[in-house]
Order: sequence, then structure tokens, then C-alpha cells
Amino acid sequence: MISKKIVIVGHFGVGKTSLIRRFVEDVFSADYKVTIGVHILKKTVHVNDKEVNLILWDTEGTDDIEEIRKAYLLGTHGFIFVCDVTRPVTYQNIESQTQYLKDNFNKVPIISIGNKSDLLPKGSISEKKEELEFLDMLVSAKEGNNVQRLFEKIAKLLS
Amino acid sequence: MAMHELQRDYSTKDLQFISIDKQGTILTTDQQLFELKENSSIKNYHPFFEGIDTYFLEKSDHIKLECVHLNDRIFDIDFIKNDDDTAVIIFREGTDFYNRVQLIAQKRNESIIFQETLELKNQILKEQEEFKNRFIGNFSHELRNPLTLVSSFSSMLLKTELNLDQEMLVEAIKDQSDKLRDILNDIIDLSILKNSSLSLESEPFSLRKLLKNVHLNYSTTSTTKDLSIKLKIDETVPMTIIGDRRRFEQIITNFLDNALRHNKGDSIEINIKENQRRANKVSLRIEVINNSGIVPDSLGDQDIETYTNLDNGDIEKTTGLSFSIARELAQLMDGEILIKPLETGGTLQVANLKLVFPIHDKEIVEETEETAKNSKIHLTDKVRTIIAEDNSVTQMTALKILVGTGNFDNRVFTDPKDLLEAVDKDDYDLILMSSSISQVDALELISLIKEFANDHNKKIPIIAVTTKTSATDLVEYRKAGFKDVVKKPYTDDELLNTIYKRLNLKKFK
Ligand SMILES: Nc1nc2c(ncn2[C@@H]2O[C@H](COP(=O)(O)OP(=O)(O)O)[C@@H](O)[C@H]2O)c(=O)[nH]1
Ligand SMILES: [Mg+2]
Repeated sequence: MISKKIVIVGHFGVGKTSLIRRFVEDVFSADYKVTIGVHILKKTVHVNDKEVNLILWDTEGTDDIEEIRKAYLLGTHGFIFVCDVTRPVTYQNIESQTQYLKDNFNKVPIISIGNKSDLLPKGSISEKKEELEFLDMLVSAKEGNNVQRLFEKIAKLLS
Repeated sequence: MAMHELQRDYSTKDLQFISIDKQGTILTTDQQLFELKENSSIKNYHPFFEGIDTYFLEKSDHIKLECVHLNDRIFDIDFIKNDDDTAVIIFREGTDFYNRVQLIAQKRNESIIFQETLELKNQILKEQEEFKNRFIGNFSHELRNPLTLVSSFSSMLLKTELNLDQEMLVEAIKDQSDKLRDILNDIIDLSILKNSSLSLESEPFSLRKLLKNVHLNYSTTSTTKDLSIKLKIDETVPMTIIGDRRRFEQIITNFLDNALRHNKGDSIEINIKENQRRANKVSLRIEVINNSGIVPDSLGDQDIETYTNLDNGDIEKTTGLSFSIARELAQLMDGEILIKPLETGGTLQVANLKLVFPIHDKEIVEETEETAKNSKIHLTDKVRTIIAEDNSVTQMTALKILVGTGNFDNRVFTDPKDLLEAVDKDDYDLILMSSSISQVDALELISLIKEFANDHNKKIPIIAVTTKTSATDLVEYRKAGFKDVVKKPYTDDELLNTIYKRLNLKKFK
């Protein structure tokens, strides 16, 4: 069975940990426990009748991607860059941040997503989507929207 | 225990050494931190190890991974590659240390996010406030045209023969529409002030003359006929002040309106004192005291709220509006406003204002405007007048006022093209122009007129009749060539005064 290392990056508090917990354990907690260092979790997904082991690295949130401990990123097969659609600071610099990853991790795919879509006022999602067009996907760890799809998508990209 | 033993003990107590081969099979290990079986694959113990193969491919022989969570414990991990395709992994337990770090990070991140949320909320509030002010501004402008009509027509009606009943009714209409006009101006002022787009003028004016005028105006109105209003100005107070005369007056009149509204006694005092001066700056204390009657204090920002809530649109509730204006104005003048109930049952309103006065302070002579008695002016030649206005209510207002004097011959234009044609073909004596006609801005239109009008019409006075009356607007209108600006809503006398002032009346007699 193949294993793929996915590193989840982005500002603190955007819901990286929550996304992984929703995906792996199908739970959500409204309490915020700040992640330090790195947690590593695993879940198997099926892509095209094949099983892929996703090894998910849940990192400490940093304002700047360059602050992340370099060793965490060794051997990465894919990045998920998470921002919080309700906090502009978390996506203001998304371009330079993803560019940094592209420059340093040649050819490693990056998916940029906006989390907490449940907090967008109903009816404004399509409007907000336009404003957030630089994102590949809007998800909600709280309500589970698009979470499964997100990880299947990255698994597909890698297999 | 010997020192070296202590050291060894200490340094190995929280360390575990494991050696593995390239496939991840454990060759040797101690059991200091957790139990591992030799000859089993390390990959089975935790997903962290599943990617361990790749560390053999890295250029560096020594990879350090800090703060890695494995189950409920936290480790610093060193991966050291040997030449023989084996590697040593060293675990150092850091659970206690990192849990303390986590607490600090928790506090820090929570407070940063909290701060961010606050700022975001603040911004939303600010946007709402701006929207509200814009809304109030726009809606007040909309009200001006109908109000101008009511107010000026009732004024005109009063000048005709009416029986006593009729006169009383019309007087009441005029009275209330004037009040409404004042409130409207207050609202607009306040929305301008809150948007802080208002800048103060800086012109010399005679302080005593201004105060005496205010005093006279208030002493002679009907509402104050049983009231004694006393004005006391300290000798030391400068003769001349350099500042915004209208805004300065507004603070005092707002105080007086407030005092009158709540007054229960028989006298009101106005006191002007000097707090201190330095160089050419003076701090003045303006007091308005009503000896009985409490002016409600704590007039916070809810005033404008009660005001915009039209459902309970009770005019008497507007008390706070004038006070809010006074407060905003005072802030603009680097000052402050206080309102205090007095032990006697009255109220003291105070403004402390920082003002500038000329170094050589002396009484200045101001132009006193010679307002002609409009109703007495009869011209033998009619003034050929263009009214450029596309709002029918305003058209009618201006027409009625002008026609009522018998001195004007009017043509109304609602289309800029027709207007330009007319000023080319026929001769006129006066143009009244609203701020925009069929989407063409007055500033643009006047430049077109200056270009396309015949030589005669190029010299006639053009007066703007507009709601845009901020200082910058006025400057722009003047620069563009307008002789004067009449502020909407206007009364019949205000309109006529301005027109007569700008016409060479001798020509028409
Ligand atoms: N409403 C909402 N809250 C979320 C969502 N995802 C995470 N959160 C909350 O956001 C906070 C931070 O989440 P966390 O996963 O710890 O963020 P991380 O620092 O990026 O790992 C927590 O209070 C979560 O409950 C979401 O999809 N919707
Ligand atoms: Mg986290």
C-alpha cells in the first residue's frame, strides 16, 4: 500500500487540527487547543479502487510559512494551505506563502482552502467565493462540508 | 553517587537510543522511554515512522525534529544516518517542557485572535456608522426641496391679506416648517461632523459683536418674552477671535436652545470668561446657565439613534441633537463640553474652547449687511431670469417667489442643451442654477455657459442654488464663476436678498 505525507499549514486558529479530526475521527470541538510542534495522524482513503495511506502532519500555526520547522517538511508529497474565511489576516499573504512552498518544494502539489464556511452568512457564499477566488475549495470542519472531498482530492492528485 | 554517574544518569534518563536499518527494522534499542521490540518494524508503532525511509535519502546526515507528539507524549527526535545504511534515532522526552510552552502559546494565540476579532467588529461598526451617516445625509437632502416649498410659501402667504384664522394657521405652518428646517440642518451638520469631513474656517471676527447679536436675537423672540437673558463678557476676553464664526455661534445657540427647551425659571445667563492665554492662543469658557430646569445630561451617541428612529419621531426628543453637534464642534476646536445640574435646580452648560486671537488685538469693523426690504423693491424693467432646475418642486418654489415680486421674467430649463441654446440666442440678466440638471453637474454646466453663451450673457450673475454648502463646496463654486450660493432649503427672503445683492438694481429702475 502506498503512503503519502500531507502537511497541513496555515495561520493558527484557522482549523487545521479541526479539519484533520473531522476527517480522521469524524468529530468536532468548538474549544480551541493551540497546537505546538506537530501531530501526525493517519487515514486510508480509496482512490480508483486503490488504497492510499494519508499520513497527515498537523503543524503548529505560523503567521509566516517560513517560520515552520524545516525538518517537518522533509519528504512531503502534498500541502494543504488552510485559511479562515472570516479572518482576512489568514489569507492576505496567501500568494507569497504558497509561492514560497512552490519555490522550495518543486512540483509538490498545494491545495489552498478556506475553512469555516459555516460562518459565512447564508446566501453570501457565492459572493464570497468570488472574493476568495484564489482558494481551491471552501470547507467546514464544523459541519463537515467538503472535508472528505478535500482529502480525496489530494489523494487523487498524488496517486 | 559520583558526579560522573549523576551526569550520566541525568543525561540518559529521558533519552532512548534506537538503531534501525533502511527498511525500518529495529536492530537494537533500550527501553528508557517506551517499550520497543528488536527485529520488529518501527513503522508499526506510530504513523510518524511510516515516512522514515525518506530520511535515508536526505543530504543531511543529522535531522532534528522538535516537539513531535507521539500519542500523549512529546519528543525531540534526532535521526542520525550511518555509513552502513543504518541509522540511530534518539528520542528525548520533552512532555513537561512542551506542555508549559503550550500554555504560553495558548494564551498568546487566544489573545491575538481575540484582538483580531475586536478589530474586525470595530471595522464593521465603523462601516455601519458611515452608512448611517451617509443615509441620513442623503435623506436629509431629499427633504430639502419639499421643505423649501412649504417654508417659503407659508412665508409668502403671510405677506398677503389673510383673515385672523387663516393667519394663525399659516403662522403655525411656517413656525413648524422653520423648526423642521433647523432640525434638518442640524442632522446634516451632525452627519458631516461624524464623517469628520468638516473643516473649520479661520477668519477674524468680533467676539463681542457676535455675542451681542446672539443675545439680541434670543431676547426678542416671542418664546423668550417673559424671560430675562443676561449676557456677561469678562473684560479680559479678546476683542477679536480668528476662527470659524458660524461654528462658534452654533455652539452658543445650541446651548441656548437646550436651555430654552428645558427652562422652567425666569432667567438665562450667558457668561464668557477667559481660562488662560499663551502667546496668541486663548482658552475661553462659555457658560449658559438656566436658573431652573434640568437639561438632561449623559447625552451619549444614542441621540442620533432616537432621532433616526422615525417611528417615534417626536420632535421634542431631539434635545440631544443640538448638544451632540455642540460637542462635536467643540472637539473640532480642541475643546470640551460639560453639562452639570446645579443645586438650585437649574443647569450649567459649559464649553471650554481653545481659540486663536491676533497679537494686536483690537475691535475689528465688520461689514454690516444692508438687507434691503425686499417687499419694497419695485423694478420698472423686469429681470430676465433663467431658472435651471429639473426638480419640479424646487422649480415651482423659485418661480412663485420670483413671480410674487413682479420684478422677474422667468424661463425654466430642465435640459442643459436647451439652456445652452438659450444663452447663445437671447439676452438674460440672471441665472439661478441648481447643483445638477439632468445629470450634468453645475460646475460643468457653468463652464459650458462661460464658453457658449453670447457676450452679453457671459457677464450676467449666475447664482448656485444648492444643498452642497460645505466650505470646500463654496470655494469650488466661487472658483467656477458663481457669483453667490443660496443654500437649500431657503426662505423667500433669503433667495431674494441674495439675488438683489448680486444684481445691479439701478439698471432695472
Ligand atoms: N465555526 C467553525 N469553527 C471552526 C471550524 N474549524 C475550526 N473551528 C474553530 O476554530 C478554532 C481553531 O481551530 P483549530 O482546529 O484548533 O485551528 P488550528 O490552529 O488551525 O489547528 C477552534 O475553536 C475550532 O473550534 C469550522 O469549520 N467552523
Ligand atoms: Mg492546530
